[in-house]
Amino acid sequence: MAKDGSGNIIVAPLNKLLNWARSTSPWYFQFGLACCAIEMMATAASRHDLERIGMMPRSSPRQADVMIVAGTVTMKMALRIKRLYEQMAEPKYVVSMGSCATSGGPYWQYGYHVLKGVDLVIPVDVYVPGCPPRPEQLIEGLLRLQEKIQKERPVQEIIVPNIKEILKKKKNKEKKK
Amino acid sequence: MNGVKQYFTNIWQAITTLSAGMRVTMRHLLHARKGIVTLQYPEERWPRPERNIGFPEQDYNVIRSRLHVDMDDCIGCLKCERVCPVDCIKIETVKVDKGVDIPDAGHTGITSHGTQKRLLVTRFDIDMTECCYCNLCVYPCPEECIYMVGGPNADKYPLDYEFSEYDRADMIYRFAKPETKPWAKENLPE
Repeated sequence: MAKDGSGNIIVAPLNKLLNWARSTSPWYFQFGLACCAIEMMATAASRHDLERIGMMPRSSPRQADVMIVAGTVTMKMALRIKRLYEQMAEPKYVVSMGSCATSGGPYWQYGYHVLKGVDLVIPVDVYVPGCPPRPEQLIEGLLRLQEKIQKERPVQEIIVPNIKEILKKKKNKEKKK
Repeated sequence: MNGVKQYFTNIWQAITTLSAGMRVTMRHLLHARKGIVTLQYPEERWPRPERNIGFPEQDYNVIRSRLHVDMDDCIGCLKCERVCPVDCIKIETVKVDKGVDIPDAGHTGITSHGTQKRLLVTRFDIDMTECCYCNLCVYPCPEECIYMVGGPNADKYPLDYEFSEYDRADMIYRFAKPETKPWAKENLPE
């Protein structure tokens, strides 16, 4: 493949396909930390119905794509959140739901036990405002996440470098032989 | 021979039972009128509920959405900053001549209520990530210039409660006019 950028024309539909598949079925990791979890449950229930946009609750981080951090992140829970995030398989996204998860919320000043924003521990893609956010607000945040996923270029950024690495390893093995 | 017969009966049973089940599903799909509760969110919305606290809502001004400030009416009295239980409002003011317009700083001397302003507000930041949407800043405001958008204030500012962002810093709303700070630095001695 020539390195003048013309290769992108070939992989653009593949990018589109991958992004379509990723963005229309982001299964979310089902765990709630505080009152925002009640709203998250309401969003998943039949009134607002998250399965409408292809989101299904998963109880294991291994099967989940999106982590909705719903609620106050205490110092004790922050370690667990980091571990759970690391257990999720790529591609993984994080939605910070509500004031507490985004910046500590009402505890930002005097909360000795609250993490001042979950982005100190894990990278966050979308911040949803509200205390707690209404289901509509959460869905709007998730639609924004979908928009963000659709702008990605997984072939150039993930697949091609991975293939190159694999080929390198193969060459090294052959050299050793 | 018996095994072959069993095989075909199994297939037949699978087809008939599946079609019977799907017929029920299809009938429900076609004739479902009552009991559909799902809100097709981005296309249709429910009206935002306003809390009923025993007053007519026009008098009491309660809705939980985004905060907005009309800077032309703000006199910089710091009442909202003091009352905020989470200290998410930050205000800085400088002293200027009473009731005089300053066009360079975008400052009007008299509010729409007729109060003469003594202070120029150089900074009015509300961090909506820290806000707990309690409406407590709305009540003490003497000029009624800080309010939650939509609901009873829909004629002043349209309803906007979905404002999720990709960056946390974008959720800090800076209401003070950007030209006020350079003006204050130039024209007022420290």
